[in-house]
Amino acid sequence: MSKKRILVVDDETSITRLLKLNLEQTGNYEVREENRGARALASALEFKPDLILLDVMMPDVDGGDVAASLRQNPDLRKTPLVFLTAMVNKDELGAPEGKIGGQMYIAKPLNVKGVISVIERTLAK
Amino acid sequence: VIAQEREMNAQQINVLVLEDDPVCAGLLQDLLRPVSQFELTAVGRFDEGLRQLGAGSFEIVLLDLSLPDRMGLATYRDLRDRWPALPIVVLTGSDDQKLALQAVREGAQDYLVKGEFEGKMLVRVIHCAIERKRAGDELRRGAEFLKRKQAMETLEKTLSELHRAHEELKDAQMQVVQSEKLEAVSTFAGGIAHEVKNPLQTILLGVDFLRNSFPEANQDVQMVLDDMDSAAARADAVIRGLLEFSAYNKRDVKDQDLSTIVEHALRSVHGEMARHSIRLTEELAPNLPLVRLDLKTIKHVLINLLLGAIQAMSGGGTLTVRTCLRPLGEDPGWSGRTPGQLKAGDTVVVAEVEDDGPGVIESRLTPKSHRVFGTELIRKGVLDLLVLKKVVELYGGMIRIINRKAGGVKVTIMFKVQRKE
Repeated sequence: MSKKRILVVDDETSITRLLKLNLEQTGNYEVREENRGARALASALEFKPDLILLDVMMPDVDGGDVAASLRQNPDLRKTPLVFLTAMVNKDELGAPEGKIGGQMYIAKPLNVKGVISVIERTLAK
Repeated sequence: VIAQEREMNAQQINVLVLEDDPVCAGLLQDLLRPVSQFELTAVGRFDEGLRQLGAGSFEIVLLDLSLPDRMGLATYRDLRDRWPALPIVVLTGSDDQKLALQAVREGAQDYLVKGEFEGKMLVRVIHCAIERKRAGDELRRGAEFLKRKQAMETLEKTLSELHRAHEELKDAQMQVVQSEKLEAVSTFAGGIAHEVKNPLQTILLGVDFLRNSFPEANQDVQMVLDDMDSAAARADAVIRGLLEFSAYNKRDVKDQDLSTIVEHALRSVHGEMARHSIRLTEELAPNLPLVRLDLKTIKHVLINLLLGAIQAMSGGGTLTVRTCLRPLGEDPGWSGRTPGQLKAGDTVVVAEVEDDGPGVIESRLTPKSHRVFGTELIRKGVLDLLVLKKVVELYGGMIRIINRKAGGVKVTIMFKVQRKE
């Protein structure tokens, strides 16, 4: 079975680096890091990921806007997207993962097991 | 009658006669001479009268209203004003009774019309005037006392109303300060929480990476990694608690019944109790005094305490939930500091959550016992006790945790009852 390609977009380099190290350590994933939200679309078009992990709050561009631009691109429209967020909606407080407005999210901080579980469930859909 | 007269005659009565007509003065002397009780002094001028009054002691004055140095009512008024305690009987001519009557209206004890009285009548008038004056003065004193008493009562009432208003104002002020503080803490906490989440994410992923990179690492390394993992989890629990409570930024602080809040909280953990086969003993006091709280927030605190207790008895057990009213400071074995506005002896409404689980390590029973809840529990979403403690303190209350003698833990939260009329 070929490795799943994951694009991780987060302005925190330590987080993208550790996600890459952890996910690739399993042998099941190939991960590309992107630390600039504005470059997310270009990275995605180039890397052709099976799934994108996208930080919601980045200094240069809002994760929501990035998501919108990805959705508008015909090549990426169907690529599953999972938000990484440090803030969670009041109604979904305490849940380490879930959906905001129909979109999967991972509430920081989450351990690798949790991240992988969300990735696998999203890819299975 | 004889006995009465004897009694009346027991004391000598000094009479001052202010009369410029020597005939009239002489007549009075003659009339009173047979009665040994009376000692008469007669002067013809007002100023001489005042001098006599100043020098001697007189029981009564017989006063003619037309003296060479004082005329008319002014004669009476001046004398009365200077010697208010002295009985005065006005002497008047038959043509001038109107004036005499006016003097009586203004306080004179009686009047005598010259040439129209004889000895016995004079004696009686003098005795009656003295008695009437004494009775009148007593009546006046009584009335004055009554008036003073009434004034005093009014004053006391006003004072207590003022005091109450002051207390109410203080309460209101405190509530304003409190809700502003809550608001500020919320905003601040929300901001901080967000900033701390990213570093925590890095630590968690780093620990995972190291663990997976060195699966054969020795026990010490494993232990260090585990410790780092739980430390990050605890920090996250604190942060999550802050975020959670800061989410209620539209706070609704009003008079609440703690028993009702406890009932709400119990309803929320019903499923969890059933899952762990927990028996519930409810001892909720009705009609507790209301305390100013935000229902959602305190319900949330209680839910977390209940979940903690349920978790401690994962093999089943009895959960006892109690509310009551009592003075602060009766818990045996508590040596911790009492925070903020609470002091020993204050009346507090109390909610207690008791489990019969294994209890907690003694050294963790300090007011800083934020480690009472284990990492596993925190992972499951139960908020850190440190956060709960701070939240309760924001509402002027406090949390105590003790190991029960019978086994298990008792967590008590209490809020001060505001004094109310």
